[in-house]
Amino acid sequence: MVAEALDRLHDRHPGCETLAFADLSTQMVLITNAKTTFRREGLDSLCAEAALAFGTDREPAIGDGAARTVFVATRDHLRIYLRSAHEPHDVLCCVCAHDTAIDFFLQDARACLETISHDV
Amino acid sequence: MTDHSLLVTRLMALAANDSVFVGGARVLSRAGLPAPLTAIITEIDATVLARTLVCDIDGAVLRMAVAGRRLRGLIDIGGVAPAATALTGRVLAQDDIATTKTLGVFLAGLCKDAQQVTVRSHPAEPLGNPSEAGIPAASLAGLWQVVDHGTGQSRMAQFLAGNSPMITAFIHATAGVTTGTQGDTTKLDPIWRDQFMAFRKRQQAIFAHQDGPLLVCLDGGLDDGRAVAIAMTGDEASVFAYESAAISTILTSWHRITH
Repeated sequence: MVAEALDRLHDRHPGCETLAFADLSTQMVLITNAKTTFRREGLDSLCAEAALAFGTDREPAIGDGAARTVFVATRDHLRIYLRSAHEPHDVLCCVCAHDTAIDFFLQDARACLETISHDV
Repeated sequence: MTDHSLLVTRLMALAANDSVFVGGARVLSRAGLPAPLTAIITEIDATVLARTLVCDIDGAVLRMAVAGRRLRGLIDIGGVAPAATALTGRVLAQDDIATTKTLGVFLAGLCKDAQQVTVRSHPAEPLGNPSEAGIPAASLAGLWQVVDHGTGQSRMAQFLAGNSPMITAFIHATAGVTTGTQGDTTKLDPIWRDQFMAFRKRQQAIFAHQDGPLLVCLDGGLDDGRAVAIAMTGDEASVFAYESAAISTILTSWHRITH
């Protein structure tokens, strides 16, 4: 079910090559879309960056609020991290092309995350 | 000119492959190419040992104390209105950025339509306390809004200015020195002071082989609900608050400017 939801999201947004559902409390990626090109170490790095960027309730890494979405734009990728509204430890880590239609993708990705988070 | 300085000038002429000399002075810019102010900053950046650089800008002669790729200050100025001499005789300091900016405005005025800028490198003369280091050339570029890629502004300045309706406040720094602020930076100051470098180091530890420009945007990163971001490219950095609905525009703009 969860894998299918990630694959459907990937089908709708093929420019987002990697979609990984992760648990920040354990800093583990639990499942990814089938066509991801990231290996285990790469997925671990994604999860670690998500944990760093979201910080903790007591100590946000940047700012003084609880961010729900983080965008990391590098030379090669746009990495997007979404945190579930209901389960703050549940995050969706996304590696996207720079020309991704952000608003369209965010709408679908957030719906996907909340569905997965509710079901798991 | 003493025999010694004549010898130095000749040796420099021999050592410089593409340089053009006029009356023993090396030409930095002619007919606006390269941009005169950029050429002066580049010369400061290339000066490691303590020297007095004598720049002639269409007859205005500035003697500058330069060391460690930093401009320490103006020793004196000749061939310009006496009011300009208020800028001379003191060391530029990072806690008095206004003076450095005023000097930048003055130099920009001199350089605006300059047909020829030349430089001579003389032995260092004393200026202020030797422990006062001055301002790094890299910071001068930001403070004086020079001219990174022929656009008249640095990349970061272009990005911040180009998105000004969506970026409600920012801190802009070059080589670690704050070179500009806009809007209410109350929430941004502690990020720049306490969080920026710590985040950068930890992020680099995660993606060790990642280099180049970096933009990190946090939707809801401020406790008043606003979005906040940090950005870096080259030796420039910024912290800014932005309208979260504009994230797509901001990402596109960043990609365009940094690629």
